[in-house]
Amino acid sequence: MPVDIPDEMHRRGRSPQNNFSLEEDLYIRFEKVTGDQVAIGPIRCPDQSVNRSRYSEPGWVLLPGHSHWGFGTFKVQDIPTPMERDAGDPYEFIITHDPEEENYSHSEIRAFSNGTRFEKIKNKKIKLTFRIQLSQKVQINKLPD
Amino acid sequence: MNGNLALNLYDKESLTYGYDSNSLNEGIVLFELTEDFERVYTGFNPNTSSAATSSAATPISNEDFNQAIAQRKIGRNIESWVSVFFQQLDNMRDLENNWDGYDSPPPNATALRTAQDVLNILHNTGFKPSTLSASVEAGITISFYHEKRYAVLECYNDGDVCSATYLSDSPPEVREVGNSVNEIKEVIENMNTFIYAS
Repeated sequence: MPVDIPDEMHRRGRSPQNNFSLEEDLYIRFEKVTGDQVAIGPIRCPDQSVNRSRYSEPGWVLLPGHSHWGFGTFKVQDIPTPMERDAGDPYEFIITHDPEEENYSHSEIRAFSNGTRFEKIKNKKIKLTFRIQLSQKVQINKLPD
Repeated sequence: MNGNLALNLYDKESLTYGYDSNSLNEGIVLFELTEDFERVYTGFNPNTSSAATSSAATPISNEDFNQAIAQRKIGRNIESWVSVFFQQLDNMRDLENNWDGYDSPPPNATALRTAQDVLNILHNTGFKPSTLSASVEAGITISFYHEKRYAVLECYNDGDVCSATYLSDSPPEVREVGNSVNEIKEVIENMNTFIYAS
């Protein structure tokens, strides 16, 4: 049975708005916790998806179909950035508003270096460091069922 | 073959585990035969010669099964948490591409084999993980937690292994780990020491 989502979640022709303040809350959903932090396994680097608070309610991040998951909050300023690497300019992780038709608030934490976007990062140490540091910043609002 | 069969000691070449013949629903873990035998199975019940789990399982004869067991030293009994985590690994074999809705590849045989090595070591050392899950980074994540101390071990599809130790609000110490048994044993020992440091 399809899950209804609020009308306000729909994009309805609205354009992306990449004017994030450092204080804006971002919402992330997760299936497992380790101790009192979000489990690392499902956290992506780069391109972790979140909902931005400017255009959503906290619980919407569980829609549709993830009502049994948990969710948490962190701020734009909590995004681990920059991250140094052995060769090349550091990676900059930047929140980017990336609306979807049924989720206008959808955003992604994308990786850039010297202005170039990196959709894949090969360095596993950098990725694991990023994922752990992001997990450390998430304030858990709801635990998974 | 009857009663609770003690878990065989870790053997990387054979990756033989233990099982509880009195209960196929509890305490059962993966069971793989050595390279001397061509067929492998999971959840095998020697009394009925039927495979309990896994559509890919192929039963073997009791004679072959007993011979495989007789070639191994006997270790201590399986603890329930070990079988739970081995079952979670077994379940990951059924994951497909895009299992998470974000095009992530499932853990492959390499990652599963490394994770099995890790679980064997953890069982032999009594170091119980907190969580085990498929990683969106193409592999398997094994995490540990105790009183604000964390440790993570990730086994990747390309054979690489990374580890990390950290306090709840401090930068993690992340390192690349060789995938040999001895290197994994060493890092697990260090993680155990860190997690339970007073």
